[in-house]
Amino acid sequence: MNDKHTAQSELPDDLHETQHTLELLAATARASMPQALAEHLAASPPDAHRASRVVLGRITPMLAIAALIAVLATSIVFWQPSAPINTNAQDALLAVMQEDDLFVDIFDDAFDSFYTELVATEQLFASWDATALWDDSSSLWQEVVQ
Amino acid sequence: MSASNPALHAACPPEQPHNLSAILRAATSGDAQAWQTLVEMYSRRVFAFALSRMGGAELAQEITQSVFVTVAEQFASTNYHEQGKFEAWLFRIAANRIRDEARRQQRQATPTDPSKMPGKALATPESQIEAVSAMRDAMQQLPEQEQTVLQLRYHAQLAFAQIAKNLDKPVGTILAQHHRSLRKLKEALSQTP
Repeated sequence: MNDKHTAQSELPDDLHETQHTLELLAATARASMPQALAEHLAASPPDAHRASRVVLGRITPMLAIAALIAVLATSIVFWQPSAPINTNAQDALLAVMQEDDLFVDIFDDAFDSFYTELVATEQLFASWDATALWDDSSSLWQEVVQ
Repeated sequence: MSASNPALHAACPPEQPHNLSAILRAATSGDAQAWQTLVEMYSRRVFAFALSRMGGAELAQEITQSVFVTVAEQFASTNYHEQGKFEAWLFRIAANRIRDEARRQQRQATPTDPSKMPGKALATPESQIEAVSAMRDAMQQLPEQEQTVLQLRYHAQLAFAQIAKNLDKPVGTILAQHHRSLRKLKEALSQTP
């Protein structure tokens, strides 16, 4: 389709002057664009955007790795454990043994007390004549029978 | 009205260079010279279209810059694939920018005096300046759709087929609107004292 030819051929002659004025208005508008804008646009080729993206694409992983290393280094330098940690089996065994000694001491004390009470009770029973309790003549039995 | 005015020779849709596809391919691959060629070919057309729609030179500059930044970004991201529709695509971006800006600023387009326009002055006789000013006022009276057709045709210098594609209308409808709009403008100008 010959666009220009179609438009011209369909326009009556009396509209050509109107069209020319309209074209002049548009040409004036195009000519009014500051040259500085054209130069600025021309100086910003797409490659500049691509280049900046490529550079960013290269820098970003490096920055991420550097940041990770910095965080790890900071953690190592400033890390202070809140409680001692048994770093070897010997320390761990010593701790258990110490705890066992304590447990044994406590158990020994308790057992001694219990044994003392047991002996005392046995002596008490040994000295007590149970038959006397159930003697028919005892007052206690009499009370139960009655 | 003098038809020999050199500005008028560039008014109708300019012939696309036969190597436009090659220029676009070179620009998308980062060729600075090809990019400059595209800017020279299209920046004034985008600017004039924005100026006609928005009425302010500064705003038209911002929109023109924004449009070309978008084009550059699309070229750089390899999202653009040349299929012979560059002009339609370019002015669709421009139309979207203009619409967004108009919504954002809620501005009413105001006529711009060509004698006060920045940049290169067009060597226009006094009588033609008056005619141009009257034409601008007359255009403001047209319905929005008819203004758009005329602005895409004369300011953006698009072919009727591309205007139809951009506005999603049949070419016949666009031609009829164009004819009707010129008739209205002629009547309006004839009533101007």
